[in-house]
Amino acid sequence: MRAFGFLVAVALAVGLGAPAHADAKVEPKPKDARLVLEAGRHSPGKQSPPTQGGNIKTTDPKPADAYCQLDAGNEVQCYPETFEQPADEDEAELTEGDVVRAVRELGLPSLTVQIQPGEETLVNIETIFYTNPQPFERSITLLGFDVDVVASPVRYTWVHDDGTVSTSSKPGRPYPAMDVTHRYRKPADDVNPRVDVTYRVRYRVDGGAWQTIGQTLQASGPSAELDVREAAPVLTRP
Amino acid sequence: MRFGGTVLAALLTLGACSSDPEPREPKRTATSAAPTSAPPTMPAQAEEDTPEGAAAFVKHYIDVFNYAASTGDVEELSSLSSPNCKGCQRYIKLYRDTYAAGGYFRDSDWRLSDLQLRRAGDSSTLFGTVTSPPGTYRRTSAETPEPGNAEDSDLTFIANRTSTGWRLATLELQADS
Repeated sequence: MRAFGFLVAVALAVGLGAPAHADAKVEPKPKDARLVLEAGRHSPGKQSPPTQGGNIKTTDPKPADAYCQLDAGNEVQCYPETFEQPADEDEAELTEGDVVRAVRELGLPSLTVQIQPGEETLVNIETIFYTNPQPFERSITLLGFDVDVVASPVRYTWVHDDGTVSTSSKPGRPYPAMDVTHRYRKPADDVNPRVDVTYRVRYRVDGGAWQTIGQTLQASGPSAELDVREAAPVLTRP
Repeated sequence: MRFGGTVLAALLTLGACSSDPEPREPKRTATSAAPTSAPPTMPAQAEEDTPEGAAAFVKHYIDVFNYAASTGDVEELSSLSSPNCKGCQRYIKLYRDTYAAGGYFRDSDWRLSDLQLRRAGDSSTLFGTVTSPPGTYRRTSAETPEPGNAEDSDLTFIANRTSTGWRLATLELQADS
């Protein structure tokens, strides 16, 4: 019955003019690597030498043992790469890369996408998506340092599983709010939408000043199950 | 309540019925991709268990990737990709589904920069940049062609050495720096 009421309200919204949405939708260019590969990001992290004036170093995203040149033909030549080493290898240094690795090991929260009206929706009406962000605050000991870590969602990527993706800066809200919505265009069984969350991570060492990690980290949410139906109109006697 | 049902039915007629003329559902064709040429042949160097072999394999992978993008023939691309390579499988599905629906990608070949390589056991991690012109594409035969995006993306490739040669295990964007 609640679903019925919801459908009436959604139908009213559709029929009388859909509201403006808070966040812009992205209609992906289908081959765009930033969209196709957005869910998986990789940075193995090699540390550069320590910066002056602090014990936090920056992360070099491109560590390598070799540099390989690709010529116009099919022959490849690789040359060893050399890296600067810290002046004192015995000195314990905590790097931003250490914090990133620790956060990855801890695991940022994967969020479950919530869908309204529920496990079934209709084509050509607004289906509502939202999720419930979870706070992430940890205090850990890393290489002898006391490190406080806080991760905050900065972007939500809504994967509709119909070939489209949208992003928002907010987690959406349940009906009657319609912050994040999507119209499925085709009926389909077993659609598996999900939400991927991009986090900005801050940390502080031994109670010092908060610092923001220069890269964002992603957590892909579990897939939901959704059936997209068509509905035929039926006129009834008043 | 009956009135409410009538309102719902009438509104559904506007918003969500199968006879609704907008949007038109494109007809999926049953035709499969019909490659007009053969996939690139793997160079001998790409079969070597060496840093050069790993880099040559990734270069060859991009050649096969471009072939799949321009033909919809994903068989060779699939054979070079680990089933667990999510990035690979997303593109394989994209190309297979697009061409099955009568769509295509034109003039948007990826070009690979030189690579930086790090080896660990049977796994080689390579970092490079792909660039490509925007080209054009259409998702289905019912749609008009659209311009794509010009690409300039830093990617991570992880190639694993298997008993039958290299397989791409990871195709990912590099983390924001």
